[in-house]
Amino acid sequence: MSEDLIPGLPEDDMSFNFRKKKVSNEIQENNWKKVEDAITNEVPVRTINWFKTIAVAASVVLMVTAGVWYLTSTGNREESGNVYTTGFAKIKKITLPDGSKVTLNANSELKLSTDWNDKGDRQVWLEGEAFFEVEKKLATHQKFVVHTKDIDVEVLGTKFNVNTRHEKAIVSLEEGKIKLSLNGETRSVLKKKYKDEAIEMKPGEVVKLDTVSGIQLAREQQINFHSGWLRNEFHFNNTSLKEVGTMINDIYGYTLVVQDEELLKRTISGDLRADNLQELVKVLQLAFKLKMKIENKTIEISQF
Amino acid sequence: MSGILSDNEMLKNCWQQCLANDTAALGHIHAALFEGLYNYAGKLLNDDALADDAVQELFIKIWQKRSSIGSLEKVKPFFFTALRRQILNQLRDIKSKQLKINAVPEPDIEFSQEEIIIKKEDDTGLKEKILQILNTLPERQREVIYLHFFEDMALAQVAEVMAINYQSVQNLKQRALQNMRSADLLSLFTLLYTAYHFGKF
Repeated sequence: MSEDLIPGLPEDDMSFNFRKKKVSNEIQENNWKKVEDAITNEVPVRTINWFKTIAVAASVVLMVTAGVWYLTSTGNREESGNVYTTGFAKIKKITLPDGSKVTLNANSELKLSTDWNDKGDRQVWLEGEAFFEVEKKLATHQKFVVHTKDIDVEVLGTKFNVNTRHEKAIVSLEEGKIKLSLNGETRSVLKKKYKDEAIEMKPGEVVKLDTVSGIQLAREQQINFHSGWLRNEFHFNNTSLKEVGTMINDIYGYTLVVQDEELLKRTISGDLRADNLQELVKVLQLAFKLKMKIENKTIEISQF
Repeated sequence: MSGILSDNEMLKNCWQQCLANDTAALGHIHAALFEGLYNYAGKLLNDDALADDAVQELFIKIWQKRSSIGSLEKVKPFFFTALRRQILNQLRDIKSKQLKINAVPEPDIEFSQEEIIIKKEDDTGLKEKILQILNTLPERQREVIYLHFFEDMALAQVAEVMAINYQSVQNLKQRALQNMRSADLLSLFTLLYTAYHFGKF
């Protein structure tokens, strides 16, 4: 049997046929309805695009971080006062009475002391993650203190990010000067090792702290990676799918579902921008070379 | 063949009416081309929801630009070409969002079980074999195969949609068929082919 028996494989003589996938009328009709809505309104193109940009910009602001409530141990929290909270995939920008600005990442809570006034110390309690731009009060020397479960951060005019998720605290300092002191459980666990020394931080430094590995202070080239969430940026450095999953759970409240646990060990490095979960998943899919399907509060992961 | 021609005539007329601001005419085109466009977008984007959005966007954009588009000789290839360009831009967009992460796959068409019918029934082994070979063809060859066989597009139209010249499409198709032939499938084909003919005579 030689090849010339099937010159160019005439279609009729192939051992198989292709079959088109059927698409239900419903899908077509819905699709058309949306097109029809859009075109019958006949809004000038420019206005539509402008609207779109606004919507995107809004989602930029709304769609970012979140986490697990670790700090619900209310030991040193004020009973009442101003409370700001954010849900999954929401970010809130807050201007405090003294003019300081706080950007609260998703799934986080910030409380102000009830006796916040012009003279006393400015105290806030944080669960989750936030970025602070603190106004200096040189004349009155009013301290600005961020209390978290594990540490207190004392501030003298500065830009810094505090992340208290997952039983550890990460404080990164972009500008100015801050002083950290241990608090709560970490204090009792780590007291022997670190005594009661306060840690002074300089710009470009990051302190990571947990009860297992203690306090680690490091200088980082790109300190603003930690506040990347302000700009919808994600930074990965040999980051495993598992860690990415934790991050997605913190920020968006979605859980990864994998059939093969081995996949969780895959890592990626690099920076990316994503304005929302859909976009993030789209890019992660390509980066991890895995199929990811978003389905009610889960992301199903499988091999392509 | 005459069926395809009259389809094109119908679509051409509808498009003329679109040019006269008749939205219902665009609805007819939508009804006629949706399945093909949606499936093609699904192949390129690998996601039904995105495919749905892509087709919506395509029709809206084409409507908005109708006067600058003007009369069309071949409506279907025009829509497919525009869809492909739009999707490639979209994929490039995703790529530009990644500042450093490398290797964005080009549109990657994959054939699935349901899309293959074996003439000889119940030969699932053969089906898998065919699928495996189809899906390991180089991407562009797969796209040619898809448009040519699934969308009944003449090679000239495929060339137009993929923005390459006719000769290249022909080469891609030939190479695809050669690849399929040179794979193990050859033996199966020949076997079936001869069995078929022996049966006949």
